[in-house]
Amino acid sequence: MKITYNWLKEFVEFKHSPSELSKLLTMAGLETTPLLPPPLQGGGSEGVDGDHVIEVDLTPNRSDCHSVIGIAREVSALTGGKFKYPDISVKESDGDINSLISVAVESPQLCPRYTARIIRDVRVKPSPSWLEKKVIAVGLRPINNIVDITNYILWEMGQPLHAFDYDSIKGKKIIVRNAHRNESLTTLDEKKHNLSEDSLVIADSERAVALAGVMGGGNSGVTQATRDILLESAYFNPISIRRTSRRHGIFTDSSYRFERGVDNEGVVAALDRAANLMAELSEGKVVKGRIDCYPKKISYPQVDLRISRTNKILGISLSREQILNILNRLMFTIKIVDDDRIKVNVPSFRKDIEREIDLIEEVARLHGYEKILKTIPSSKVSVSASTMSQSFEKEIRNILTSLGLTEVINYSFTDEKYFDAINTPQDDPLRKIMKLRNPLSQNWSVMRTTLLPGIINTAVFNINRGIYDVGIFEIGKVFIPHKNLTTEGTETTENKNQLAVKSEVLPIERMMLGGAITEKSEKKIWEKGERDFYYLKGLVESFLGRLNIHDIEFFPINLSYIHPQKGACVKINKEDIGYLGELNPAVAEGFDLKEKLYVFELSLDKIITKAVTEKKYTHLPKYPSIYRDIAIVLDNHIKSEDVYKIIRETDNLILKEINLFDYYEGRQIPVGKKSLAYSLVYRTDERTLTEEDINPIHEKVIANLRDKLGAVLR
Amino acid sequence: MKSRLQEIKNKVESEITSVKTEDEISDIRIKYLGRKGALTLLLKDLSTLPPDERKEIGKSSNEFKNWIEDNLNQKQKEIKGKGVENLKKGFFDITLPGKQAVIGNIHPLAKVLNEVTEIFMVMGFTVAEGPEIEFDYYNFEALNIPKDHPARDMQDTFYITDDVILRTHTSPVQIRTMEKCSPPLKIIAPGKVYRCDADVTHSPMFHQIEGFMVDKDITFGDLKGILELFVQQYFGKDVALRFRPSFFPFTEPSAEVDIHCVICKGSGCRVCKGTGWLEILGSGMIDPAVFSYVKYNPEEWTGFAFGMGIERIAMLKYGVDDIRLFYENDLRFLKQF
Repeated sequence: MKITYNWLKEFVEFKHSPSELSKLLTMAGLETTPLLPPPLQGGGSEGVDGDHVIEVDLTPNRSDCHSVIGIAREVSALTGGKFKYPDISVKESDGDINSLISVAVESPQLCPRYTARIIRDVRVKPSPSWLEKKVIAVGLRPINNIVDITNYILWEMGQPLHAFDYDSIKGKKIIVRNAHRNESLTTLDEKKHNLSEDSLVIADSERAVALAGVMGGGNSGVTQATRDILLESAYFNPISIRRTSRRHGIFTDSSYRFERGVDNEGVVAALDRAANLMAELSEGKVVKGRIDCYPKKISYPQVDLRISRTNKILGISLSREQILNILNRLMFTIKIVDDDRIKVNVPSFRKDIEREIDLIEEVARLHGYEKILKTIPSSKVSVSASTMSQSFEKEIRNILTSLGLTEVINYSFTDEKYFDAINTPQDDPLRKIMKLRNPLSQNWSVMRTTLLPGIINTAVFNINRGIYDVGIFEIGKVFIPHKNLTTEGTETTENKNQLAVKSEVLPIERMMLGGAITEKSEKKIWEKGERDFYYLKGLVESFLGRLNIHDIEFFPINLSYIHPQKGACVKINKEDIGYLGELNPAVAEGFDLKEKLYVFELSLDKIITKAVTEKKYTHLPKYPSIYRDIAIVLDNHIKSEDVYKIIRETDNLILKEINLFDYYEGRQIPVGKKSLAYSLVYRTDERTLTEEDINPIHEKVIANLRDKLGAVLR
Repeated sequence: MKSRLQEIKNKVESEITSVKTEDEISDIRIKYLGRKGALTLLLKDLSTLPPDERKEIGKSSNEFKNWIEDNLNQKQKEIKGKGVENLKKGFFDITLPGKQAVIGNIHPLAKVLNEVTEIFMVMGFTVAEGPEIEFDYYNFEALNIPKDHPARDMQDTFYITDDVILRTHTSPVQIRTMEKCSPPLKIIAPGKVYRCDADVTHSPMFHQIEGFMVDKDITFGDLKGILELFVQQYFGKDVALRFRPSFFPFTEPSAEVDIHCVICKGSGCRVCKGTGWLEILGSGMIDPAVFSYVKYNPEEWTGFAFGMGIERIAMLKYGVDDIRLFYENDLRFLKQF
C-alpha cells in the first residue's frame, strides 16, 4: 500500500526523514520499499510538492495498517510522537434521514454493522487539486469529487465506503440480504454477474444495487446527473467478503480491506468525515441524522498476559513497567491483576490480537528484535541422524558423479503427451496419473510417473545447443495415484463433486534414479571413444557394485520406449528394479533426437533395501594367482552368459575369476562365428598352485566348452 | 712408479671418453682393473717401494681405481639409454592437452541443500522427510492457516483435489514429525515444494529446508543464536545479519532474517533493491496453536522453526540471476559448480 510522507505527518508528529521512517517501519514489521533518490524513482514516486511516496508491504495480519491513520498509529507507538485522530465533526443541515430511507439488515451475521448518511443537492464535478494530487500519489485515478472522497477516506481511515445515487434506490429502502437464486447484477465495471445465494448484496425494494463490500452496481452508481447521495459505511463479515470476491473474481481495494477485517468502531467516524467533506466539496448538505444498524455490539477480547511468560519466551528480562509502557504506546488499555499478570483490552482496530502470544509478539516488536540477545540452547537432544534415503542419496550422487554423470533436476510435473511420445500402451500403468487442477501450463499439468521424458528432454535440450556429449542422472520422485484417489476423468459436474469428497489417502511417492548417456563421449580426450549398450550396462554394474550389490541379473525386456534387442530388465536377488537400454529409435525420432541415447531408470527405494552398508574385511590372498588365457571360436548366437556359466560350473574352488578381455567378429574367423577370449585366474588360500593343479581343470574347461557349445580353441 | 701411474691415467681417460659399447667398457675394466690389469699390476709392485713413497703412491692409486669404476658405471648407464643425454633426445610436447578423466557434477541445488543440511546436522539436528503431495490439513490447517484465511494468498497452491495438494512448503514435516515423536526435538527437513508462480525469481517447483527445535525453555534468543551460527557458518563470519518482525501463521513472534547484501556488502545495489539487505529465511517461535494441533502442551514446551529457499541461497552464493537456469539443465551451466 502506498502512502505519502506528508499525509502521514497530518496524523502523527515525528522528526524522521523519509528514509529513516522507511527503516523504522521496516524494522517494526511493516516492510517498506526503500526510497530511491528522485532520478531513480519511477513515475509518480517523487510525489507532489516535495512529498515522498512510501510503499508499505503489509503482512496479512496487520489489517489495521491498511490506512494512513493505521500507519500513523504505528509510527506514534514506535517514536512516542503524538497521534492526532482525523476531524470527524459533521455540519448537519435540516431534514431527517429516517424519513428519506429505511434500512433492514436481513443477514446480520454477514453484515454486523451498517451505517449510512444522505447528502443532498450535491454537484458532481472534478475534485479540487489537493484531493486529486493525493489520490494520484497513492496510485488511484481521480474520477469526480464524490468517488474521490470515498477513495480518499478509504485510504486515510481504512474504511471502504460506497456512494449510491439516492434517486436510483427504489422504494427508498435498503435491504442487506443474501442474493436470490437466479439473481444477477451488473457491477460498475459493466460486467454481469450471476449471483449465488451465498453472496451478500445490498438491495433496494426491487433489485440488488451492490455486491456488498466488493463493488457497487451500475444501476445505482453516482453519475454527473446525481443530485442526492446515499453514503454507505459498513462492517461486513471478512470470510463472506473473501468468498464472494473469489467467487466472482472481483478484487477491489474495498474487498481487500473487508476480507482482512476493518475497524468496526471506525465505521461511523469514516462515514461522518466523508459526508462532511462531500457536502463541503460539492456545495451539498448533510441531512440530519444517520442510520446505524448495529444490533449486536462486537466485543473486544480481553487478553491475559504474564510478565514471566513474556520474558521466558523471548529470552529477555523486561520489567512490568517496561511492558506496560510498550502496550500503552500501542493504545492497549491495561488492568493489573497481580505482580505477574495483567489484563489487556485490545482496541477494536487490532483484529490480530486475541491471545497472550499475540501480545508477546507486540512486546518483542516494540522492544526491538535487535535488543534480544542471542543464546545457544542447551538441548538434551544429542543424536543427529539423517534418514536412510538421505544418506544413500548423498552416497549415490558421489558414485554417479565419479562415474562421469552430471546431476540434473527436472520438474515433477510433466505433460501427458509424453506418454504418446514414448509409445506407452493405452492401458499401461504409467498412464495412471494425477492431474493438477490448476496447472500453470499444459507442459506442467500432470505429476510424473516416470523420469524418462524429463531425462530425454534434457538430453535433447543439450544436444540442440551443440553439447553432444551428454551423461546425466536424476534422483527424484514419481507419483502413483492410490486406487482410492481418483482425479482422472472428464470435467463433468458429477465428477467434480466426486473430487470434492475428502480424500483419505495420498498417492504413493517412489524415489527413482534415472539417467542417460549419448553415444559420443567426452571431447576432452583426443583419443575418441564411443559409448554403447555395454558402457551403460557397465555403468549400472559399477554403480550397484559400489553399493555392494552383486547379485545382479539382466533379462530381455519388452518396453515400447526401449530398443527391442538392446535393452534389459535389471534384477537384484530376482527382484525387478528397473530397466536400461538404447532408447527406441522411433521414440528418439519423436523427440527430434538425432543421436543414439542410452537410458536407464531404477527404483532407488528398492536399491536402498538391497545395498549392503556393513562392510567386513576380506583378507588378501596369501599365495600368488596363476593366470591362464583361453580364446575360443563359437557360433555367434551363443550368449556370453552361457559360456560364462559353463566355465564357472567347471570349477568353483580354485578358479577365482573369469574375465572376458576380447571379443571379435570378422574376417579372421568364419562367418557366423565369434571369438571370445577369457583370462582365468586360479588361486587357493592353502598353498602356491602348480601346473599340475591347474592343467586338469583348464583342460576340463576347454572340453566342456567344446562338448556343450561346440567351441574350438582359437 | 709415479710416471707409470700417470701414463695409465692418460690412457684410461682417453679410452673412457671414446667408449661406445658395453663390450668396450668391459674390455677397459679387464685391461686395467682385472687380475692382470695394468693398475692391478702396478699395485702389486708397490711393495718394492720404500715406505714413504709406498704410502703416497698407494693412496693416489686407490683413488684412481675408484675414479675408473665410477666413470665406467656412468658410461654404462648412458649406453643403456638411461643417461640424461639419451633421455633428452627427440621432442616431447607437454603442451598437448591432458587426457582428463570425466567427473560428473552434483546439481548446484543438491549441493547447497547438502551443505546447509550438514551445518545443521553438526549442530545436532536430525533429518526428517515428508510427502511432496500432501493433505491440506498438514500443509495449512494444522499450521494455523484455516480455509478462507488471507494468509493462504501468501502461497499459491497447486490442487489435485480439494484436500490433496502439492505441498507449498516443507513445514508440514513439522506437524508430521511432532505427531509421531515426543519432544525434545531438533529436526531439519529438506525437500521439494511447489507454488503456482513462474518468473525470473520464482519457479513452480523449488527446494526448501525447514528446521525446528522443541524443548523446555527454548527462547527467541535461542532462535537468534542458532540462525546466526548458521549464517556465519555458511556465508562467513563477517556477514552481518538482522532479524526483522514479520508474519507467518505458524510462528509467533515471527522474524524474517536478512543478511548484508553479498554483492554490494550493504551499500545498496540492484540485487538488494538498494536496501543493502537480502532476505534469506523466515523464522519464529512455534505458535501455540500449532502445538495444540499435535497435542503438545505449550506451557511445558516451546520451540522455534525456520525455513529457507535453497534456490535463493544458491542464487546469492553463485551470483545466478535467473532461477530457470537451475531447471533448464544446460550442462555448460551445471558443470560450473
